[in-house]
Amino acid sequence: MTDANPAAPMRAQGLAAFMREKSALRLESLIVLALLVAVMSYASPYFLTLANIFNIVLATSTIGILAIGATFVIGSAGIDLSVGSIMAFAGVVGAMVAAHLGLPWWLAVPACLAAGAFAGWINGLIVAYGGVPAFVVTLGMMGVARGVALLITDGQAVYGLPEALIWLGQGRPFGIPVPAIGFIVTAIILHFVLTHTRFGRHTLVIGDNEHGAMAMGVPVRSLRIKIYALSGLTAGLAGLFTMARVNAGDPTAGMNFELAAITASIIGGTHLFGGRATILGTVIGALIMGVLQNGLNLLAIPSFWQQISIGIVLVAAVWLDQLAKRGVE
Amino acid sequence: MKNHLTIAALGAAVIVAPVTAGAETLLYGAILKTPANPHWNAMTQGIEDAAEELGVEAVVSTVANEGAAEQQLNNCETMLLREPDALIVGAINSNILLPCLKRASDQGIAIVDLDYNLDRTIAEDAGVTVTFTAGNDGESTGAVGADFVAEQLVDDLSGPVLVLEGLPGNPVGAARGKGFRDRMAEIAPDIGMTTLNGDWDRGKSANITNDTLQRNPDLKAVFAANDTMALGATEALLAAGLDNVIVVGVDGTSDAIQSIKSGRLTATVGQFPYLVGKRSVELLTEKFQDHTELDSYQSTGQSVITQSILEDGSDEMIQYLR
Amino acid sequence: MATLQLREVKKHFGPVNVLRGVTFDLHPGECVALVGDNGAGKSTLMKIVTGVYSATSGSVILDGEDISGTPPGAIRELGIEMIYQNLELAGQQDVTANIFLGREPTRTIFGLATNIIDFKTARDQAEDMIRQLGARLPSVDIQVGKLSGGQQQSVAIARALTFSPKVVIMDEPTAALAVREIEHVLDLIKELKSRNIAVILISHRLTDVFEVADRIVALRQGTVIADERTGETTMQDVVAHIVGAH
Repeated sequence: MTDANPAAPMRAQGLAAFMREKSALRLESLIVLALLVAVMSYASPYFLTLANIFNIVLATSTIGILAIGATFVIGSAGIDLSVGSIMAFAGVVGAMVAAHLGLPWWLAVPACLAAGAFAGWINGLIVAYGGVPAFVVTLGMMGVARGVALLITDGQAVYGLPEALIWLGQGRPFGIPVPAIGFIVTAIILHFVLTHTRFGRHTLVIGDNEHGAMAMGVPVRSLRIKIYALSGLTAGLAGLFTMARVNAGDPTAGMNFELAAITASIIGGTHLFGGRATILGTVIGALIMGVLQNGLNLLAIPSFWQQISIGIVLVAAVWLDQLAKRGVE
Repeated sequence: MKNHLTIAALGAAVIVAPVTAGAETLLYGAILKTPANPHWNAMTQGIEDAAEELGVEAVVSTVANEGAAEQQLNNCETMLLREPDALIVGAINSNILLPCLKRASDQGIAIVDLDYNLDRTIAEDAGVTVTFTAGNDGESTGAVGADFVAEQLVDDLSGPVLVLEGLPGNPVGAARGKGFRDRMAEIAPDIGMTTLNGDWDRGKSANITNDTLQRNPDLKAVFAANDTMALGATEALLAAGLDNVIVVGVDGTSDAIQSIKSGRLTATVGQFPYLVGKRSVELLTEKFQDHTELDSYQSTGQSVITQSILEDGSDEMIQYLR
Repeated sequence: MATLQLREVKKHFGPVNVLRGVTFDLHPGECVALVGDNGAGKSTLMKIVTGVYSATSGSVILDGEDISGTPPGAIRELGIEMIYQNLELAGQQDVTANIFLGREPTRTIFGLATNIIDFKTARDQAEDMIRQLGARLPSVDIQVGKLSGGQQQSVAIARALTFSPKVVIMDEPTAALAVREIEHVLDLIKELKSRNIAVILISHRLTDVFEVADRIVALRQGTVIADERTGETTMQDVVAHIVGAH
């Protein structure tokens, strides 16, 4: 340590090590995805077609967008159990704005996003200033958001949206479904936010060492509020696409989606206790789940097996990661 | 001490109530599922309307969600404290209510099973006497759906057809699917059918429909075990530019009716839960007041609702849509 | 004039009085050792200086200005840095990220300030700082959690020194180090003094204290029990202050 030599050569050696260092991307999840694609392509001739690939991205978009929000939350050592309910709440609010209130259709878009962000902001406020654990706060919001969605709709789906709004869910410019485009654009933007902004950097730092971040002057409380608001915002976006896709604001939509979103994020390499997360990993994690579901649907295998296989992949992905770590040390 | 007094007072109220309310007023306790489901809302309306018409008393209890089985058991136990003449039960599953229903049977309380939610064999083994079951059994519903689909496809009965059942393990979804497949196989033995679980969910059903289209781009029809799934499938098909695929749901919910009116969903096998609730109360009252012997299974009627029926009102059943 | 002045700083947590009125000064280029037994109030006092806690009463004055109640980030901006005993690093972040934590340089686009981190500037400055400190690290791109204890401490020191502080607080900087590394830290403190930076050193190792400190402030039960020049006291006296044998 007393050597006067300048800092040694700066680049880590080897591609795998480089990716591990720079992006904490789990190669394991990519390998699992590749294996799944190979198996499915072999098992079903309909699998590896351009149309089906768009199809998979479309089917993955809802969980994928939720999982991107969850990645920020889990990366900050938090948890958000309310995104499935917030998604339903936001969808219902948007659908009511467009279908019942006689307002211009496009107002449904900011309405969904604002409803989602608002619910998330409340979560953040109580976590940051109320000192109530995020698990409890968001568990409460899971009930409240779902309950409000049911209450304002009297339990009935708000059906029959304007054509322009339906296009957001059903349109296919250049053959690509709009929600799939939304998913990809969201992933790119939030990848940039997580890796290139102070907000993203601080999100991971408070997940790693909250006390240290506070001591170094990171405004931890306002940061937490922003993180939960972001998670609510992505849930609102997911709610918008889902609503438009099924032509209805359904207060029962998104049941258990919070767990699927967390699963996708964890499969993609997000550290369950915070500090490490990548959007690319999460997208891969969500795609793994999407490919499994799509493949098993194509093979007409009952959904018991979908649940079993996703459970196995989740544990296997985390286990592989542990093995790889032990191998390195 | 104060607590003991309150409990004692409550107990007295429960015991006294039937006497002071007049021995003639019949009391029915309804133990239903969640009001978040329009099906059970309509059922509640039917029960309450009939009770008012006939001058009997009906108390309706509901639970927070489709999975709140224990809460339903608690509701049932609480209901027994009121000493009702009959329980009208939409059980969340076939087991959870059995201890409570057994006690009701022992006390001579009549039990009505709504929508075939109680498994008769299991119930009888547990010592529960079901007075009658009101509604339509799932297999017959599936068969009605199959007849309609076959009618529409009469020129080409080769398929393929997608069948969407509910959550894995749910007997109603499974029975509707089985009824559809069995009847379809009778009419067209060579028709290609695929069955998957749409989990009663719109979005999931849309995904499954998309995936199935990859495999079967020439999909001819979809039969879904409820309207929510049928609507998800419909929107996925329309998004894929296919507006000639027959989609049939089950129930007759308001959004399904709206969708049929606007020419999106093809049809639904209407279950008229309003009528199920209403008929249950009417039949029970007949039994108590006129001492009528009732058949153990009471079909409350179902019929296929299409755009033309809604336009010309040719089926009088549509007045019971809620 | 004194760089840092503490005036009658009091702090209680509920009914517990942790600080009962602490007063002392710190001058430019001076190293004050803060000694005292566990629970004497050293950490609480330093957390008040760095803004992590706010005092119940009394004031913290930097260069003549009362900075009591200023949040931690702003206190760092004003020039007070602390190197914590547990270093408070983010183990899963790289060296550069840790050095610039809370003060990441950002880019301007079309003259507008953004939240986007200027990685190149940060990395270049981090490398510079590590080189100046003579610390040997494999790379500033490596995760801090993968470095040795001594290397991690270099990162924490680099973080404290990158923004030309006026006051540096070190909490037990030598407790976990090997002999050779301890020498390096003490040399560093001397170097800071020569650059006119004021240092507060919290340490149990009195040999270190006597080597680098100009004054020794002893805390007991939340009050200053002694404030003496190093040359005018002995190790026995200081131990007696700490354990309360007087």
